[in-house]
Amino acid sequence: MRQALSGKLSGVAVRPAVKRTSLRKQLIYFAFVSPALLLFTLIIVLPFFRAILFSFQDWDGISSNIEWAGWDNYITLFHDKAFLKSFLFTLKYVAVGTVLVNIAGFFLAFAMNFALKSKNVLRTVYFMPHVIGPLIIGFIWQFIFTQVFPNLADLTGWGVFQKSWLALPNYAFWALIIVNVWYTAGYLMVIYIAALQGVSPDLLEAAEIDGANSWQRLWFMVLPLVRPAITICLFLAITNGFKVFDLNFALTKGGPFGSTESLALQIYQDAFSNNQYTLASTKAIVFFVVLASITLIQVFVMKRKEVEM
Amino acid sequence: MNKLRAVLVQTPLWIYFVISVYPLVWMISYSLKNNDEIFVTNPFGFPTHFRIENYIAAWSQFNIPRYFINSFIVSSVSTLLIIVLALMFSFAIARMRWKFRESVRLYMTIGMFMPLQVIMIPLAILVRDFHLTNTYGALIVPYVAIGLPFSCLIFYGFMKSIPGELEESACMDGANIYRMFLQIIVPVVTPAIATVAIFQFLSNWNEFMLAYILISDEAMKTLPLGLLFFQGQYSTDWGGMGAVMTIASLPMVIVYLFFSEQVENAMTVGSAVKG
Repeated sequence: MRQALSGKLSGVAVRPAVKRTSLRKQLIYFAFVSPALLLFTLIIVLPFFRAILFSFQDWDGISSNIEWAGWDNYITLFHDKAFLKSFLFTLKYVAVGTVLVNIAGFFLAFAMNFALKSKNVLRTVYFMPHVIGPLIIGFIWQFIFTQVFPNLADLTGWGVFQKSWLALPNYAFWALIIVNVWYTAGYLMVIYIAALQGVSPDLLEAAEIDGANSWQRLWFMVLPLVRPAITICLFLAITNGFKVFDLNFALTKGGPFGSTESLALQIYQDAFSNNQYTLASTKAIVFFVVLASITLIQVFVMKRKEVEM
Repeated sequence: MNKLRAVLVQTPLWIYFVISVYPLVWMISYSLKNNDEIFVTNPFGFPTHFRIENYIAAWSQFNIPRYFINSFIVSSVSTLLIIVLALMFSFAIARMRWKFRESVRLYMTIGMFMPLQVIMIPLAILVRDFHLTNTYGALIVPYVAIGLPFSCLIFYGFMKSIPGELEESACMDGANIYRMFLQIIVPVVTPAIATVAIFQFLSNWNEFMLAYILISDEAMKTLPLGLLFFQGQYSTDWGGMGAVMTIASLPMVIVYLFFSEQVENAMTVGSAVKG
């Protein structure tokens, strides 16, 4: 730093000295960054390239000979019914989940404006599930669906509670969605609250005087003003939806009949239960490409609209 | 009119409050009941007898203390390492002028968008090849690497905002680069360290997928794995299961109740950065 400073101040005169010590400085800087850089490269970057490599190979994970497979794995995927099923399920889960979680999160945050006294208590409780973690949440809700619902059915006689939610494919999907919304809404709410605090009350008041009703104010003023937060929350909901594993695992384990098996869960099963390392890697790469394209498009489109605003 | 509107808005909020809190209250409540009370005599009400024996049984007959210690060691050691490595990294990137710093920073940032699902297979093989399977290292090393990109970004953002005069004056006083790092920069970024510490500790404490892949030895299991094991083995002992889940989640809930604002900030700050 001292060298950098003096070099900048006195220019040409000290150049030889700067050059010699600057190599030393470079080494010191490198020493500062290298532990993090090495670990990151070894654990994140190299495995990523190895996963790409695996997707073109044929290997069971144990034997010493790894065969080259070319595009065979990718071709297999298109005929793999379980994969297509899981792919569709994940897309549906992400689409429905993203919309509902964001609506719930936004309206919780929006309604919070009117609940001045109880704001902190409500906010703390809404966020709480996110601190506990998806595995425990999944187990709790599994118990609710299998044990509490029958009790509620006896109590109320309502048909919704009489169904065994986790054993019927259609219901199992919605069970996952319900728990997902319950788990994530409070989290997105915190982001939306922060964004809503940036909306000036004066501006809304002025619009009210000009005759805009509540819905018009919400639709034409508040929503455009919190658009950056919407971009973030959509991004988070999409990525978290695609990556769902713990919740899926604890709640349905992919059942009934593989109807709720997320891609993440299937990749896990293929690799570590069936020893199909290379096929699972192919699925992982496809998963990565799809997730990356969807989120890139989403962020790009939303950002462009922000600029237009 | 305003009052009516307040009631109209408040009612759904309180209904959602009940929906939010009920499963959690109810987990604690059934950890204090036996099966008969859970299913037949008292499925909805609060426990009448406060059966602490569920907790005593979970704690003494099963490996819960072991899981708890494992979770604590793995979470705290990896959090500590993340903080040290990320601080060093961000210091050299944010406060020093050198040739490759921008490219190094970009390289690290990409890591934030890497889904674990994509790298988990080669990672499992790597851990096996390094003979780390069923050691603390099997979890600590990946957790540190996964936590780094996010933490570096937080520290980088924070360090960038420190005015340069701070170091210039330290320079005049003859401080070298190490003293500058340890005695000037690190104390200034303490709030960011707290944020990163909370975030990383929490996510490592709750991490399940990697632990499930990399740990099979009973003695090395963390709490989420222990929970799964317990659920498989004693699936009919719901009171015991409730007790185990309460034990596993209570530390984080207590931390959250005391520092709710910090925890919320820590867990959502990543989103702000990512967007």
